[in-house]
Amino acid sequence: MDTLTITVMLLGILLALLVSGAWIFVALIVASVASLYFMLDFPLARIGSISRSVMMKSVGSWELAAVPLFVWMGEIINRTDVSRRLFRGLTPWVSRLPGGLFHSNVAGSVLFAAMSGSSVATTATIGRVNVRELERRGYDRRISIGSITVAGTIGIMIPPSITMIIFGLVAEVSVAQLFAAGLIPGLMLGLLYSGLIAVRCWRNPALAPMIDRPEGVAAWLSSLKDLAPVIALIIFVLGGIYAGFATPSEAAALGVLGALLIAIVSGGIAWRDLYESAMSSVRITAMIGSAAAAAALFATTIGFLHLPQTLSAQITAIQLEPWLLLLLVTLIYFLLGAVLESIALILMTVPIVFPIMVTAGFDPIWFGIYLVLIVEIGLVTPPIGFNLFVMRGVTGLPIAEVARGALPFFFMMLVGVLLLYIAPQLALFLPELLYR
Amino acid sequence: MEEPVPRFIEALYRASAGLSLVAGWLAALIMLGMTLHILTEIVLRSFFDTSTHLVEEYVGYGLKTMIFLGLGHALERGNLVRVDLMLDRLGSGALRCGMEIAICVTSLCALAFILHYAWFSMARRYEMGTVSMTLAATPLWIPEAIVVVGMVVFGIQLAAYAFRIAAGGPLIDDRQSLD
Repeated sequence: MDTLTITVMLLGILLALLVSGAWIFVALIVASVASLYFMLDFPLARIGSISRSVMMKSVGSWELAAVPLFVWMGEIINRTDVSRRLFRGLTPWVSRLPGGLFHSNVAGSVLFAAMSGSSVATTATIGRVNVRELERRGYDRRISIGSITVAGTIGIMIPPSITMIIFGLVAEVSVAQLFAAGLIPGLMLGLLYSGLIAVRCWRNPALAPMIDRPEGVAAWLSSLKDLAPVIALIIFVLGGIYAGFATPSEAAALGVLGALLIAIVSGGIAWRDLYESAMSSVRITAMIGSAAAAAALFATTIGFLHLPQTLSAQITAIQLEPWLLLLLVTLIYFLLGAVLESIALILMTVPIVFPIMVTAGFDPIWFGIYLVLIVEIGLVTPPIGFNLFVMRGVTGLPIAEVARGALPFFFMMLVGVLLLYIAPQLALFLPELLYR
Repeated sequence: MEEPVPRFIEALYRASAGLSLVAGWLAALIMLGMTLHILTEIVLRSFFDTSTHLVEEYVGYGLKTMIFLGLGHALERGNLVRVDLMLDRLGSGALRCGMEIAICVTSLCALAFILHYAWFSMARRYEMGTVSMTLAATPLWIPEAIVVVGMVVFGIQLAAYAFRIAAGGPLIDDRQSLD
């Protein structure tokens, strides 16, 4: 069999399993074992011992340990009054801009993203308070919902980011460098979304009603009081990584401690909430960890099949222009991203695509950030964009309505993709400054 | 679909959900231990210029064991994410239930395959008394045994779920964790 047939068959089996509703890790294990057995004629005993050792080794890694702790930190923060705090604290800052409180949807997402590694958590947290508060003040509902749905995806671009940890693990790229690389693109996306809001509200002021602007020193002081713990936690967690004295896993443990301190300072946290936060983190870790273990087996299988090398060689042979290759890969990701969940998408494609892209001359860190942005787009693309479901849960509106609200912001994401391609330094500037 | 689930199957499911929950508690304790260990390490390194020298090794065991111990509980609460594009189309009739049972059986087969070799490896390490090549010289069968326990709990949960669907019981709502 030639490589293309093998690749198509392997991905076909995997996609069929995934689409038929098998859990991600089951689909990855079955596809891997089947390929090793049928395509390479490995004896079962050998497949078994490879599977066990590869899977166990991958989930015993120090880098992956950041996942449960960052998730736990986010789960604790979620159970504090942080969403209300962000909304109140940002009000005096954003109410002067055209679009007023709409910008607190974006700025709130950017700030929360720096305390959470998940877009779903970011969207849910910001959505919980902001949708109601903006509607009560007579803001246009469609822009409000659309901006939260899309700005919430920044959760995985601004570190900490579970998606980047998973990418770093599969691609064997430094998670700390990815964390540095995501910051500027994350802020850039925030500016793009806020820019769109400002332009639309400037042209049609009826979208955002005039509100009472909080005036005077007291308003600013109370804003600072609301935002101070948030800023402190962000500095506490990210400062350590950027300054180079904490690895992501250590920063995550500090983050758990910091989140607990904030919870205690801002009115305390019930034991029940602490328990729920830990159990939720256990469940999410089981999901991500089992998928990561199975994906390690999948990557090993692909290695045995020599797929990345062969495909790379073939692409070099037809002298595909790098930009054309990137465009092709991006289109494939758009298609897959519309039907696959983001972690599954990264776990099943990166072992094949990443070596090809690196061979074609793309920077590994840059490609990681680019991929995170593509994954973000998948989060708001029907039919299974997770953020659409989150906002359906928050607002009770049908998916189609949420997606319509998100559409203009979706175009800004595409602008973001283009900017990242034209100016790779957006992603590479910080890691080069800090680590190279 | 509407007939009540036989009592013993419901009892079986409850028992297995309870078992998964207990394994989940253990996973949460392990996670707490990992956090405290890392924090201790940071304090030791920053202020006392020393180290427990074990943090990477033990956090590794912790992660691996908590993942597998949490699997059953994650399944029971609908946290194991999957693509429900097609499952949604099937509604909640007999076809959907048949599909769900097929998925459970496939998962059980995959699990049994991995478990078989995980058990072998653990038994060999126990017999030979293999220890880690670190200062702690940890007997390696211990973390592997915890992983095996987690896999068995997950398997029981999968089987209990499949039996409950076969008896007309409800499907797990994956979307709950999102909405």
